[in-house]
Amino acid sequence: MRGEQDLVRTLRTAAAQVEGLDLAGGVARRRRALRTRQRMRVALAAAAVVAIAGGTTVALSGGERRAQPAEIVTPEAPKITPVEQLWPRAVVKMPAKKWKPVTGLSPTQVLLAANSAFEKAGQLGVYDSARGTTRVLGDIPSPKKKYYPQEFAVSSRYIAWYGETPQDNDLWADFWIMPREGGTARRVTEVTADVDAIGLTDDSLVWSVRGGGVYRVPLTGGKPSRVPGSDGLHLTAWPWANGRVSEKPGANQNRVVNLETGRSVDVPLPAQIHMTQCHAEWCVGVGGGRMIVQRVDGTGRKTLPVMFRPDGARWLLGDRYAMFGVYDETRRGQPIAVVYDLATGVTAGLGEKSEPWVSGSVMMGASSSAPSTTPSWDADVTYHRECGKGRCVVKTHGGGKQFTVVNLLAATP
Amino acid sequence: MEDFDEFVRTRGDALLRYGYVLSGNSEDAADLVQEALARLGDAWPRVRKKHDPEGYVRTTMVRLHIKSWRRRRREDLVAAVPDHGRSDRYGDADLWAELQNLPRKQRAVIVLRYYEDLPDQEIAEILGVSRGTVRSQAARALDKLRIKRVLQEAR
Repeated sequence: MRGEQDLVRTLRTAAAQVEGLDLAGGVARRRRALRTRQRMRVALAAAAVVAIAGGTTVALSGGERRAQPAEIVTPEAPKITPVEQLWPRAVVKMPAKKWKPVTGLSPTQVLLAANSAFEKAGQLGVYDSARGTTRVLGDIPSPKKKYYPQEFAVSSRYIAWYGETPQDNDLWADFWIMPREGGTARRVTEVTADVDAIGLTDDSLVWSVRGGGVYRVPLTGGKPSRVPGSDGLHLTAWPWANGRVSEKPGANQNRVVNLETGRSVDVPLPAQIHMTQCHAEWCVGVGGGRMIVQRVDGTGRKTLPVMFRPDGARWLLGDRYAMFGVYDETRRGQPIAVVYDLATGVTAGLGEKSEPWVSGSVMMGASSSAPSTTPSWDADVTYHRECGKGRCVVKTHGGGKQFTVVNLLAATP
Repeated sequence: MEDFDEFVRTRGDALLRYGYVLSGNSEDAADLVQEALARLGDAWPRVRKKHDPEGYVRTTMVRLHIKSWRRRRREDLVAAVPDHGRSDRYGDADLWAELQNLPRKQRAVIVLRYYEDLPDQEIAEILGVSRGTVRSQAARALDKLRIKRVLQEAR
């Protein structure tokens, strides 16, 4: 399910596409019109037209002015290698009929969740890429009406998840575990809280709540307790947690804490950056419409090429890779998204766009609480636009049969 | 009026971006900004004294935007100008497209809340409605966009 941060990001990304326009002429003309009490006519033909084209701006104005020379920002052309060439062993095709990839369990195993209804996972499974087979691990019980499992976490022994009734306004969630080799799910506890992430330690289930604070409960059940020193923190992936500038959606993460050792690092961030996400070693945020990468101690800061854009809710995929959308309308055959190696800058292209400017989308295992290691997409979907009544809507065609999954646990850096 | 021109020059881009997220297309964005700035220009000596010309423009823009919807609906018959899908060239195309489908007032509430980052009380004052209306409009919009609602007490 979408969150408010998706809205914040979408609006800001959209706004970032807009670049300079000389407004003075249009304003002066309108002021004359106002003064002479001519009724301002809201005619699109007379309005300035801003062609928003990622760095290129053309200003036209009702035929009174000629088009200004476009200010062209030459896009840097980073080297992007198709993922099939870069990490052939990591690319897996699996049937899309029932399952959605959650995250990697091993270099040859992908954890899957199955929908029994819209957005409603009914089963857990494992895709084995060595054998090309899918095995059911067990059922995801539905203890209430309109109950939806939210996010999953994995340890060496268990798979855990929490579920909610998100359409109700009450705060309630329950926690479940299932042995990693499969079996019957067991409910560990239920809480009155707005859970925002979940994780597993050797003997406990942990979670954080909106507003901050991390809690734990033994896997055998019992009374939940608050993890000391976790005030204001949100779980990233146990033992890592992040602190934020504020609780507003899209706020920068500016603190990285290891809850096992208690070590806390304040992240120095550049001015103008927002939506920063951090893990143990790396942070990625957006500044001036570009992705900015740095280590948690502020070193190694890089501003990435303008064609890499924020996409989806999270772009940090664990502690080695980040995923970005790709927007370059000048060339055909662009990938839908890239996986970027934060340490080496090696960039893998995922999929191929059916139209230069329609993005398509790569799923990044949104149901994984920790950053997912299995971005996936439907390579058979083509996008087109349908325009009418003054607006365009993006429609899709085809697909639904097979996912292409990149299992980053099998990527060879 | 030199400082008015300076204001247009320095704040124009930010206002254009605001117009773009409000209206969803570049033509209306430029239209809104220029119209609001023209009105500000005529009220400049008065508004400048109150030290918040930008707030004045932004409020004018969102009110114009909601009003012009009613007017535009009739004009659609004669002047249907398709947006050439410029907006869908970056990610989140689906969510952006769904935002276009919201009624203008709901969209304005969403923009003021999530782009301008304003508390509901201020949104209510800008739109000239009650705080309860802001909250119910926001809730309706979030439901339509299938966005998980969080507790609104903080707002």
